[in-house]
Amino acid sequence: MPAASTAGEVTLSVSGVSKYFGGVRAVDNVSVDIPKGSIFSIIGPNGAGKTSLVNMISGFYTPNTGSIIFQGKDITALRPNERAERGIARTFQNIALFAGMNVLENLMLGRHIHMKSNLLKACLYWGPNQREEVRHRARCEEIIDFLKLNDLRKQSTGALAYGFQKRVELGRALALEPDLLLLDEPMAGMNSEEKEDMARYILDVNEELGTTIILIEHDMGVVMDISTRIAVLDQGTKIAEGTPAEVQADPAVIAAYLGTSH
Amino acid sequence: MTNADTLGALLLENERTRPTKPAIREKDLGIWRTYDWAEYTQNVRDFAMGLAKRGFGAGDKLCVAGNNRPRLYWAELAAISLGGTAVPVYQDAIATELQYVLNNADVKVIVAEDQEQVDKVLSLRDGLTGLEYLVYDDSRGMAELEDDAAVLSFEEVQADGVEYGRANPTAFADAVAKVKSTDIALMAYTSGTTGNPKGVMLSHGNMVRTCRTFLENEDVRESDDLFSYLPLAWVGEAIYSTTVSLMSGCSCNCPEGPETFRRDGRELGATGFVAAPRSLEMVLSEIQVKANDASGIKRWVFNTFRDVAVDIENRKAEGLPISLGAKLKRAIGEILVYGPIRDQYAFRRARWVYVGGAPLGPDSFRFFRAMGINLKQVYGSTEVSGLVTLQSDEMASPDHVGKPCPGIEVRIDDNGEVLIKSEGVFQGSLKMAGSALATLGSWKAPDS
Repeated sequence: MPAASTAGEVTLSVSGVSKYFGGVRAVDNVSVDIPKGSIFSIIGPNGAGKTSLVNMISGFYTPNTGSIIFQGKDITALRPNERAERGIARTFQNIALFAGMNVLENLMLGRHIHMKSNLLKACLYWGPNQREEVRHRARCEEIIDFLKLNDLRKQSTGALAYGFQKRVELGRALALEPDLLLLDEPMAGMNSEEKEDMARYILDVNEELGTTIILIEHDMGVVMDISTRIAVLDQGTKIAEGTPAEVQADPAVIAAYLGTSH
Repeated sequence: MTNADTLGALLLENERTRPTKPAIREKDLGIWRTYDWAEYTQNVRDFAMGLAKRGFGAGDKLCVAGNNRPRLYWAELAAISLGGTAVPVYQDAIATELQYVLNNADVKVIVAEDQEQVDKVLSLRDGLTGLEYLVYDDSRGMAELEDDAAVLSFEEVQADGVEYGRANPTAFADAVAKVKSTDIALMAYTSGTTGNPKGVMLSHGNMVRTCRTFLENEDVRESDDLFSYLPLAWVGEAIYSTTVSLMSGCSCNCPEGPETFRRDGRELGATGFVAAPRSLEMVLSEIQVKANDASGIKRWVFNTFRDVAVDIENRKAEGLPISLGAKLKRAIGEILVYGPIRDQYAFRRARWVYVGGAPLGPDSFRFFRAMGINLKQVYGSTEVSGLVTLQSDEMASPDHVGKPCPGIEVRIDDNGEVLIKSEGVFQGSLKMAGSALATLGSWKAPDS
């Protein structure tokens, strides 16, 4: 089974990317290599450029400089949907579910890129289309089981508790069957019990499904507990990278978070 | 009715006489999956042979821990068919309780449902003297235990069993034939009122004959669907679900999990239930809360027709005549209130619902009967295989427990103790000399 590995193959290689908004250098010449099968956390103070970096990886922003190589191929110029087809999925800082649809329907939507039927065939719902739907439903049911959403499958997501909505969002990203999963603050606004559950699911996704994960998170306890590697951003530049223990001991990180004494 | 007097023989008879009839269903990944008697028996056989290959035999004990899952039932029956004893434990038992039971019973093999149960057992590992290995059903989270020689997957054991069975084609049937009706099939741990839990030993004969008595006094059909939602460790589950299904050929149905069992139960619409008073009380309070939350007119409809039906029940209980007007109102209420309630709470197809284990309040009892649910009382205890008295449809009442079933004698002695003589009286408590009054053929109920 794919345990988290720090050495060896690199899934995603970001080299020298920058993103400018007018005069603001949101991300300035950042390079990171994400090892296959790792949980790679990106931390930093507010406005450090974490989300901008993830947005460039998912294709939401195009970098001004630098390149992004995913599984050996340059994806810098690809659109977000093309990246999704190659196996990059993400969740959002603010919940972006379809509130009027139920859990199962939201997950089925995540299967969209894997569905081959066109509109006309889908309307007829016969033969191969029916089989395709059944196959995708089965995959979604596995995710429901994996994330223990069984009793909620027919509930509309708008009415769910916040922690469950976040979990459904994770489920929808998993429905893509991604090789790389970008989680933008999956635990923001959660209570400690919900955080613990979410941390457990992130570890399970990583260990059981072998998915490489990039995590942006402010809860340092969780980050230090579950990450294989951590990169620290401050004002758009990378100031440190290493294992949780290395990062915690790094003077530059301490300075960025706590300020220096003069 | 069948003459087989061991559970293994009953299983083989079902394989022979009704191979394609549904034996057990499980809701898994959102879908009900059916196993017929041929598949059911084959699964038991493969697992049994896998156990036999590893040296499990007559007199050995196998523990199952987890929610109602087909594989746990198969594991129990595999051990029982080999002449061994099944020791089901409550899935929410804490580690120390579990350790006491496992050591007290000298359990050799544990079949655990999932990671939660496996972790619990492994945390006790050093303190478990007789345990040889552990088998898990759900492989999630087990990757890190792959190298542990004492932790096996259910598939692994069955695969070994297939191989072993090929080399010894008659081994399973031979083992079943050797089992006597006096052999201990099930060990149900009961807390009693004081001290450590006691391992109540029930023989094949106890279970089969008790179940036969039940089937002679209640309408159970081959086409019936029972709902397996009670804890495996409860004697009621072993008798009224597993044994009844083996003897009548009807199917057991496992819900997806404890969170979904209410919805699954409604989808299934079981044809008969045995329930604890607490779960009926929960249903009742939910109905009341929902009725109070409803709009004015709905609340009025519910209250009016409930009162009509409860009034009729009360008059019936007192032997008073029922007016034509009341009957007419009840007919309207059936369409507006009682039918929909039975449908919503999984009683749509239920021909009988027994409440047992503790008394249910008379008002609650009459409410369910008023809703057209054939609620009756059963009285029994673990030590008498869960059956002493049953109420027939005509005598259903919250005020008494019904008449002793034919073949069961009940006497109250001078001290007010209840003496019970029945084919179901247990074979004694494990490792507790002197507690077995079975020698007299009767058993004293300590507290009831």
